[in-house]
Amino acid sequence: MGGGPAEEHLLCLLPFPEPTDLLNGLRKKFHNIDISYREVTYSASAEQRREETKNLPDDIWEDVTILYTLFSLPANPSDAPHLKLVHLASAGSNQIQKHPIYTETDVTITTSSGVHGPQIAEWCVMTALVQSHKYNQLHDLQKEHKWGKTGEDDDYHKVRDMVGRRLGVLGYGSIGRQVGRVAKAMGMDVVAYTATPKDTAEKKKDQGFIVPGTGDADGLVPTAWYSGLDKDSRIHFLKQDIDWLIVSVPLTEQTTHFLSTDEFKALSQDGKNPAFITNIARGPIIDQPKLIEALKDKTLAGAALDVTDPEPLPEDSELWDLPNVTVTPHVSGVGSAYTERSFKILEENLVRREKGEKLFNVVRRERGY
Amino acid sequence: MGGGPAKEHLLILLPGAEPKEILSALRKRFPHIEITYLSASPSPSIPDKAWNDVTILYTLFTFPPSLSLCPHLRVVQLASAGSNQIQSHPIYTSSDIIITTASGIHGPQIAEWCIMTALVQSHEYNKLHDFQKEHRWGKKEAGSDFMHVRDMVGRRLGVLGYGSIGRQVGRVGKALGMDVIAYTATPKDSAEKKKDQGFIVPGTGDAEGVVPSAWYSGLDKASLRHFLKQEIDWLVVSVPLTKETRHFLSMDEFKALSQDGTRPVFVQNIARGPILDQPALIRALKDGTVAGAALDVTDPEPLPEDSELWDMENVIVTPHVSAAGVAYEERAFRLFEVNLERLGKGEGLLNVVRRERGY
Repeated sequence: MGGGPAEEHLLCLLPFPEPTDLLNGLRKKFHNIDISYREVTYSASAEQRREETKNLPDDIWEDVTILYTLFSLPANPSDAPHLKLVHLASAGSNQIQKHPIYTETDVTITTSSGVHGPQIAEWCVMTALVQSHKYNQLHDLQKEHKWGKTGEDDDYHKVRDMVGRRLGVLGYGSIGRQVGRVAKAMGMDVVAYTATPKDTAEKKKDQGFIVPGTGDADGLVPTAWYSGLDKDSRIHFLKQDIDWLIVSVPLTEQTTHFLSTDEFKALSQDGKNPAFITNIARGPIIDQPKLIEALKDKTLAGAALDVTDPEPLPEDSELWDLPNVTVTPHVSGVGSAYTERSFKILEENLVRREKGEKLFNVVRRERGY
Repeated sequence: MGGGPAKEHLLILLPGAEPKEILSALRKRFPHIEITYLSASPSPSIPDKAWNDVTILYTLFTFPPSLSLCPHLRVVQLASAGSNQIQSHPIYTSSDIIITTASGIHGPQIAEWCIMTALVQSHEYNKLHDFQKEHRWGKKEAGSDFMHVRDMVGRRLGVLGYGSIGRQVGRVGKALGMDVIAYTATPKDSAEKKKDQGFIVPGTGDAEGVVPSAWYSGLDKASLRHFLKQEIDWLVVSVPLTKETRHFLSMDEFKALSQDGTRPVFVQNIARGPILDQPALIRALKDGTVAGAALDVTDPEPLPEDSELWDMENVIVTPHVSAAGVAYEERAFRLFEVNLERLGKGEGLLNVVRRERGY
């Protein structure tokens, strides 16, 4: 007779309705994994999330070997004695980095880094073009049924396109690579920045999950590469006549407040060439009060922020109303393809696990991502 | 007496400020050309004598009152991509004077407008902008509202008119992970024919014609509809306006495109308003045959204040600005310089308008 209890138990605790097709696909492929799904309620508040997790039945963790989650973890590692792998539905792992599973165990943690590239890159390109093409003004004219106007504030006739301009990608990971790819197609020069030097062809490669038809697998897009976690290296990179800076590094101890007044000054050649800055990573990477100053005194030409410090951005923040600033509520990576791609990474990793191969996107605790 | 190229008289008639640097660079580069600049706006009063000696005219919409005034005129270089504005003038209808356009310079900027308006639509930017104005971090609703945002990976971009603008949209579309299919008037059934032999802004375009995964062609309705039925998610209209392309897209075409409204399709027009049958477009937008549109050109322009297009939530209207920008003039002159060089050497010019086809 076949069967017997499954060797593995995958528990999915995710803040959206059960994607039955995707789960059935997994079940079909992995006969030795028992798969269960439970929808949890999303909340931006860490407090509420903890509450939600506490409300889960105590025995839910007992035989879990693989956990696919966003923020729901067993309060104590001992509650889940068989847990071997945690796959996060996010690109970052900050939300669990203070949890005992992260701090006190060796349980392998993987992220969904790689699924976000296309959608977030679209958001980056969209918000940059909305600013450079003065879309908000055009939209207002449309609402007034006005076929344009001439005069002092007619700066939508003075648009400058991206050809020959320089994109700086601070953090040349999967999101950065996709922005670079599109920017290059638009005629831009792209320069990349990484934590450690990528001084061989091999190191320039992206070994992680890449959505087909996107990205920069071989690292061919940038014309120049820079690196280093120290301030001098960073400032050196920022001085490279960058017109548009994308912030796509993970949030770690080293990258907290990575960009502050000195960095904004370097980026804009002391105000002579004010740059546009886009943040789709984590709010605290930018020293936000200093960002606001730099925007107000025109050291920076503008900003597009999908992440802020804190989130939600308080109602009275000056960022909401500054001209040339776009703020969106951490939506750039939210979309219908997300779930499918995140499951794809898990699926790939389950295959690799069966074969004893290295997994994609394993969080390295010593570096924080 | 000396040799060298024949003396040419170039008259430049443009609206806007005198491009002094560009003119002095031109004079330096082409010492055998006498260059006169006159402002075309507000209303140019050009003495007849100014026309008499002209051999080359660089203009946008200002032409000699009659052919007899300019017996030596041999080339008219237009600063626009289209040539519709000259097509009822005797220069076009009753002479063989070579007319060239500035096709090739518009690609990057117009393509950016196309990408921007497509993404504004697919990422629901207008809603996000409203949240921002309200200082609203609309997370819970936003989270569920935006879950259905879908990126362009694997979706199909149809380029109706694979010219320089279409090629640049295709180039960026491909970088976004899209499948691109192209449509041209005549078949491009060899590698050579797929090439773009015109002016290309460096770092852009699709010189070799390698971006599209499939090519379609034909000026008849059957061929057009065959192309439109190829499960296109996003259609860019970038054909010239000619007799054949007037009202190229009407209700039957919108129905073919969306399989009778069962597939959401986004239509963009950056070419000329009359290429779309505008009342039909409005009906198609209202009844769901077409899911959304972005129009930088309308019929007529300006779009009348009471047009229904202004207020439709799924429609973006901009006042023919997609190419207006600071690089335009410089690039148009650079293209013109190429033509002046070629003229001096007796070579074929870029972008010669072929009257028999209308562009």
